[in-house]
Amino acid sequence: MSETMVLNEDDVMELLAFLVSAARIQLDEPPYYAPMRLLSAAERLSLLAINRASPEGRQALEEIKTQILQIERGRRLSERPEDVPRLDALCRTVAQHLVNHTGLARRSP
Amino acid sequence: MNQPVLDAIRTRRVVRSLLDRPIDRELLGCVLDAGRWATSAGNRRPHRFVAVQDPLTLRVLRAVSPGMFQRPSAVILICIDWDRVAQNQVSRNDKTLYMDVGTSAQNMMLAAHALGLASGPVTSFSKEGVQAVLNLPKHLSPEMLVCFGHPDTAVAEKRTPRKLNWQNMTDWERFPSAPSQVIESKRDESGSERENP
Repeated sequence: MSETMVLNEDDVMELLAFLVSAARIQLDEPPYYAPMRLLSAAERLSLLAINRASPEGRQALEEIKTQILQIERGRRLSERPEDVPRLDALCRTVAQHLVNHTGLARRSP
Repeated sequence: MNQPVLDAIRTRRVVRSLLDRPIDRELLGCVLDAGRWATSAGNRRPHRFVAVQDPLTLRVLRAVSPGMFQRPSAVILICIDWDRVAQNQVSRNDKTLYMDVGTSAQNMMLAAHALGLASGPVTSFSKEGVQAVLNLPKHLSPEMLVCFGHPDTAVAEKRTPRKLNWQNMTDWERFPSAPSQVIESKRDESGSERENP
């Protein structure tokens, strides 16, 4: 596990503002907007963290950001089945990074 | 034939890839002026514009606006002025108040396009958040944010191909009657199948 701080207080408050605003506006928006908002939050978090991340973390965040941008967010997910494997791949990338970063991969069972 | 208005209407797009470069206030004034010239129901003009260019204010505004994918150099907030609405004795439920937000926004975006600026509207924002960020007086309600910036032409915007055109959006004259209505109408004309009073 790394103790590196990649967000400052302003960054945290900015992301918090985004999340609570998204929660509020989601009450008025179509349900299929929800995944898009979560991806936007993930993208914003990646961008906030990228500059202060370790070289390894930065590489992972760059990859995650690229994968997020490949997902079309203007239409509902049911109209674009091609994005489902992209989202799965994104989840895999993040999970794999977590496994490597936390040292889980090096632990014996 | 030179048709600059039609050309502007047809070529304007929402552009979200923007350069980190400020917009001259004079240009922004032209955009605001175009918003002022938009149609307004009853010529009542119940709207107020709030123009924002300060980078820190823009950053905080973006934090409470999940629909703001772009990083704009300027934002114009279109508000309804409820004091003016009351002065004009207009119902608070009058839909034209919101329609006129749209006409102002469209004029502004077309003007921006004519001036070489990129633009895009944002309606997905926290109203309470925007109220707080801009310290809006209570009689102004934030209705639409319009983002502006210099387009980053090096980035290709994703465009979804649409099959929409004016022909498939339009019906001409009256809608044809439903078959049941036609039969009913024929019966009425002949009178033969009418029930006795």
